[in-house]
Amino acid sequence: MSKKFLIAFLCISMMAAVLVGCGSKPAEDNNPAPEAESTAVATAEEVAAAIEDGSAIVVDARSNDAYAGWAAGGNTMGGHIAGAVDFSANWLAATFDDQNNLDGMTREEHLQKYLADKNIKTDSSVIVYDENGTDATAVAAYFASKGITNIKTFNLTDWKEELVTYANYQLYIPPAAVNDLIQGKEVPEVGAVKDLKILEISWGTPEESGYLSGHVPGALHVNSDDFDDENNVYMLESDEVLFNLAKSLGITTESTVIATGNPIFSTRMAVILEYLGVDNVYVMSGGTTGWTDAGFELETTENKPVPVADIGTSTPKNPDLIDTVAEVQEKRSDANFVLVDNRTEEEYRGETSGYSYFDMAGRIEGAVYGFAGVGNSSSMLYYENLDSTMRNAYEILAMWETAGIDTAKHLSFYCGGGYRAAEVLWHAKVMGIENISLFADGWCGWALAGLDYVTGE
Amino acid sequence: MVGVAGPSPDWTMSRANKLIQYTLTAFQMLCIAGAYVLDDLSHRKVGVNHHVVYRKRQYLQTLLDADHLMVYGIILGILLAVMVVYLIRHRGRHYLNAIMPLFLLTLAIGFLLVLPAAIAMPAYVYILFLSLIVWGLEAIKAFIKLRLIRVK
Repeated sequence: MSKKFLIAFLCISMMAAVLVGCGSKPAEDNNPAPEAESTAVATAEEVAAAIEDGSAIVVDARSNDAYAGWAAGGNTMGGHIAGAVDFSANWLAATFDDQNNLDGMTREEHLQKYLADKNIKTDSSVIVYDENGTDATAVAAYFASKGITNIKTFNLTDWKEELVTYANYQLYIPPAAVNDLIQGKEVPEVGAVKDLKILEISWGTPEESGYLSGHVPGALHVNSDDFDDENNVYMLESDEVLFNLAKSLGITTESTVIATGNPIFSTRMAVILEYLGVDNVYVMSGGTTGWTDAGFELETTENKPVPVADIGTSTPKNPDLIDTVAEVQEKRSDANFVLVDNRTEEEYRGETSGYSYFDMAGRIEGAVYGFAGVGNSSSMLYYENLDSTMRNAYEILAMWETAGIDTAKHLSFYCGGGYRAAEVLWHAKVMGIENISLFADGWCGWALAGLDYVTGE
Repeated sequence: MVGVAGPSPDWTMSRANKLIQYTLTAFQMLCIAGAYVLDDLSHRKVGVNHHVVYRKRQYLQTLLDADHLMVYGIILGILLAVMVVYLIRHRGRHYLNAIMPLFLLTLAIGFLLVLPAAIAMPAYVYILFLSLIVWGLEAIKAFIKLRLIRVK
């Protein structure tokens, strides 16, 4: 009897040990677990003192939209504490493919770059703030996992000073605000909406592009081939084609347009519409992934536009927003005109054209290297965060200053064919830089025109 | 020499020749698979699409313009005629087996050159080039087969 009891006891003990062992196996999680209890809490006075004397780096852990100025998506306070840097908790959790992304970098490599960009080192003192208590905790835990020991958190609602916003932060509209507009709610930054048009811009037919796999509800599909000239190295189409495209989408100068999709596509469309004369154009931040990461559902049915006969103007109302080859030729001798080359370093030096089908490589003489991305002609590493939101404006300005780009002068942005440069132009608008234009034909247009160019450093 | 399975083999193929035939067939299959993948990607990836469409445009204006197409048409017509005459003069199942795939491939390339639906494919030029490689490999296979038949 006692022997049977002993065997049963041993069996139960072994099973329990196995089960406990399974249960205690550490979960594979890239994001460190929050350590709320171990993080000290800073006071508003401490934050103010840290900003004043630089004794600690103050970090905004909320979304980049909130940092820019939006009180949306769970945040009630738009803007950031003057002098604070951004390190969004979204970067830790946003949908991101380590193996398959345009920058060829893993999430961790991105995060390491951000730490370096913000000068956050293991011996730094850091105060991380948020509004909901979880963003700062997650970022603080990540910092702690990187060996940073002097970390405090702070609740932004305790901050009584005015927050700082980007001059035109509303031009990048967060998914939550787009959802409000779809629901018919008022969004103060957008104001009265007469005719809401949501566009999903990508290459290909609705089937090819992924539009039918999921898009922001109500969005109309715009195939980039509709505004790119297939016969002319995919440079921007003529005004006539652009006007016809706007008409076919039912857009008028009175419409409120939200451009969604990959930022280099959505900003290009936004620039086109502004050029034609549509006043209320916004770009949804974070792309379609930002929409789903914010918890919103995608629609998979096709929405058909209702064309209009007249968009409200027959000539572009903002012709100076887009430069032609002839205009760049004429203006580039002007000391107040700066051509900013937004391509990879390899393209700038003329080691590659950036496009497998375009053989000429080089840059326009006098152009200043203005950064874009690395490795390929779609990367926007220097201008986008890993969640496809706009990079910190102060870092962009510092980068430009290092490159010798004087924002007091007229900046004409160009890349290979006008996509990357359109996103940089949109960033510049968000930052409040108005004396700008897009040289849409870019390097391809310049080279095809047979104009002089240089290579090398 | 190893005999080839069949009701009345009047020619045989060595192990080495068989290996060559299988290897060439494998390359042909790879070319066909490559064409399929390229066609698929050209409908899904903007970079691939723009590359192949741009190159198509270039070739349609140069090596595949109307003048060149007429020359290719004449060449294909001559090739088909030669094959037909050869088959008339050399009647027999093995000659037919050796020539027919090449004959059909020649016809297919002729259709590829003129059919609007084929030309409309974004990766048209690359599919055409891959088809020419398949044709070339088939020609080598046919040559080897005919040579073996004649030796026998």
